[in-house]
Amino acid sequence: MTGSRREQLLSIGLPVATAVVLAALWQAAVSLTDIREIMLPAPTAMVAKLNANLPTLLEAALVTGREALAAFALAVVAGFIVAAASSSSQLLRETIYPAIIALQLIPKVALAPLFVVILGIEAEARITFAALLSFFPVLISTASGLSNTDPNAMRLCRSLRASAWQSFWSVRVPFALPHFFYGMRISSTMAVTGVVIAEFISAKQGLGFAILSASAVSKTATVFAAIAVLCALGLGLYGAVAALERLAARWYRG
Amino acid sequence: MSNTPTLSRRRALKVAAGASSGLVAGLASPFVARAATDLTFTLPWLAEGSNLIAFVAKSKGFWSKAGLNVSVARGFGSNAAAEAIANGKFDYGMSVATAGIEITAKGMPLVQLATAGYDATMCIAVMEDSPIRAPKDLEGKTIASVATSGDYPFRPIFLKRAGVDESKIKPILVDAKVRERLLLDKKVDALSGFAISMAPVLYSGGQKPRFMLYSKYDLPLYHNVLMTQPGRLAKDPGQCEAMVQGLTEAMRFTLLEPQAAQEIFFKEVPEMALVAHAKERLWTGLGIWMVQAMYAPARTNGLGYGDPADYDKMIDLVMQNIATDPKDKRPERDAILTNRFAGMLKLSDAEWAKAEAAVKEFKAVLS
Amino acid sequence: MDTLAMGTILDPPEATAAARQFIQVRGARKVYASGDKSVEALSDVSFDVAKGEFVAILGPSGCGKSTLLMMCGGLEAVTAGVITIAGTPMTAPRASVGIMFQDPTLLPWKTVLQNVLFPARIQHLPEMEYRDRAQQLIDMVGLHGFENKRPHELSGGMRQRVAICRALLNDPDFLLMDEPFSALDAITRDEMNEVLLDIWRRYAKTALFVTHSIREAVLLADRVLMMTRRPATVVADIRIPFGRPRDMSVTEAPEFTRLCTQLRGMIERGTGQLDRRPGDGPILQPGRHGGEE
Repeated sequence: MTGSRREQLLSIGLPVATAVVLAALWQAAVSLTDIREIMLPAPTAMVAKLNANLPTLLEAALVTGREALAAFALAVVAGFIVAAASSSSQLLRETIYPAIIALQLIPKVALAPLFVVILGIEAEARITFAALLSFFPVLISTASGLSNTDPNAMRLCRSLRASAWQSFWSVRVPFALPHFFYGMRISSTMAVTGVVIAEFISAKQGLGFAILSASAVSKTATVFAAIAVLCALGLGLYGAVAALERLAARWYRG
Repeated sequence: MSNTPTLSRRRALKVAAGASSGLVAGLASPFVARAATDLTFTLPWLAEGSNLIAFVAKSKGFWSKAGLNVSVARGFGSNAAAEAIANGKFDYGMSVATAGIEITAKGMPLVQLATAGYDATMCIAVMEDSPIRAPKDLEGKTIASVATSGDYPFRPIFLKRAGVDESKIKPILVDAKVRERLLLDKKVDALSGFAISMAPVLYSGGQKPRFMLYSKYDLPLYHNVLMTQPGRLAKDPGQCEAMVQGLTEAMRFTLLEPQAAQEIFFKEVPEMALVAHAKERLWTGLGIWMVQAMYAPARTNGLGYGDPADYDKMIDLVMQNIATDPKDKRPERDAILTNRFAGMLKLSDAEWAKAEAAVKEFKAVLS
Repeated sequence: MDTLAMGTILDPPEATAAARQFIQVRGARKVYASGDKSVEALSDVSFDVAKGEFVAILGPSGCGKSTLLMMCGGLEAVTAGVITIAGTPMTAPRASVGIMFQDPTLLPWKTVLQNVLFPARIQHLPEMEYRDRAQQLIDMVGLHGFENKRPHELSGGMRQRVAICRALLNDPDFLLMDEPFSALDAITRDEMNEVLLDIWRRYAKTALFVTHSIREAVLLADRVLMMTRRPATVVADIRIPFGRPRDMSVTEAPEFTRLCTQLRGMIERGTGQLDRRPGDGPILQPGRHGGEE
């Protein structure tokens, strides 16, 4: 077995093994003590509910996933643009940053109802909220990437009389790419949570809706099944971003 | 915390024995000047008109004269509150009757000692000028509900009994914080929820709401009930009786002196005075509470009395619609309801008339 | 190949005044203001460089020689004085001036060929045309076969070779080199010096080369300007007596060693004994400097 094969197996095997051990402990804890299913359902109960409600849950995941994807795209574009603007002008930076930091300090979950009141009960409110929740990591890491471009490369650009636009796209952006992806990975998970939080405020369908309606009738195992689907959705988006990042790294490193 | 000193426990048992043999009035007085027993008590939700009596009982000394030093905490939903009482996080508390039945069916038994409200006022709310005049008009309309609210599981039953085709309803789940706003902004056509909680906000919009009560469709869904663990009732019935006694005294005081009761509330919970339109909101909530505190069982059997027939129906409703897991166990009605201590206090006809006159305006909006 | 012959033919020293004063530095001064304090990095530097001349600027580390070079490249403003190239004051970078930095400054996501072609891309030059030239430059510096490698796959010396190719891509009249080999080990440095000599054998460019290596300066340059510590000024202007084409064999000549020893002695004596201004006359052999002509 080659080293890299072994590494690959480890990187898949270890998390799976951890999950299996945790699930076994959980199952044992639930069956050996008299923890009620309403408080903590056993993994087996959860899997049973997952099986029974799979089509409904997948449909809900599709709704939530679509909105999360839209929110994520919005967050990435907005985060990138604000980072680009703030890294190119001190004036803009000093105007925008305090407001954004202040916004970051507000527990945004408390703001979620405002979005519904202002933007209504449709998808726009949820997407906007989730985008707001998730754009900060992209902004901060991209901005730090853009402002940490190799000064030598910037001097090279100046010596070649490159325009600000040229040096931005051909040097600063590629240099900031690893930072950009790092921010995107964090944002991707937050976009999913953001949509679900917004669904808790108002929703006609989706995973947040499924979790709420199941918990309203104390179907805790169904709640857990929906959360499991939610985790899978989040992991899927995260994985897609990570795959994109690997692709970019391949381009970057050759 | 809830451990009663041996001496007073023995005394309590004696008193309990006396109480069950029919001696009622003034029995709490021997407890005065005993070492106080600290007890914790949870509300189902925030302090508001519907649970104001807890603060009256505390402030007027209806509990402390029996040596009970009760600290009242806000709750986080009727199910959460019932669960917290069942698992002993709180010694006592008030929560919605059906929540208590459900938690019991899920294997965390509770016993309900006294009824503080006969109608949870679960309803569909619309604004006064809405074209929705009867439940049937809801077809094709958007109804916003709060999933964590106790009314949510009963909405389909109400719709069915009112002859509404549920598939023609456009349901939306929303957070409690935005529900009333959405109706006032006309983003939805109707709300489902507890009139008693929704009314204060809906009234503050300057318009009047209308409420279609589920209870009018043979859904006797009680509101707040004093609950505790069955173990506590078995071990310390005297303490339970004193709790019931204090709470029913507070009910009587509040029904007869609603103005004084409101002043007590703002003195006990000063932060609630900071809410916009605090006085109007409290009066709305309290007014609706008073309307449904005057239902038949209280008049016939005395304050706090729970009608066993109503409990049979509630248990049926919960078991058929909420506690549907095969592991859920139907609670025995007599295990979950006791009228051992309730119904001791009665109001005279003149007193009922006085209370009724004070809240005429609210009787009108509850259709 | 014809394209490589496009280098400027070296003018004879007797050429026009314009050619003899291809680069003019007159009273150049640089003061950095930091807070309330201001630091004088360069004080009153004047010299000329003739067309086709290779001039090395030699001085201790941190003496401001890099600042002087950046001012010549239009990347730093002069606080006082004037620098002209081909008669025009140098206030901003020009396409006719190629610059090599101490760091090769290659873009890690570009291949060797793409890095060499980077100036063409920035300046919107026809890439197809420059592709051939880039390939020839790459072949010339001995990087044939490495065109599609990424910088991280190259050694330090190879990276500087790529940087040389990039600086030469659009055939600049004038090449500025800021200690380009100082980060390399001695053996690689010799290799790189050989590459430079080879380039100058093929087509001579006007060049200003900053170094703190005496050996490198003597080996490569036609003239060496010696600078003092801060505030730096040119204290000596020494003509190197070796002709061109030149190769590494000059380092074996006794004269080479003597020259190096003498220069080292000058540096060691320090500024106190070399309190001279350019134009005060020759110390070893007279060079050509502006003040006299």
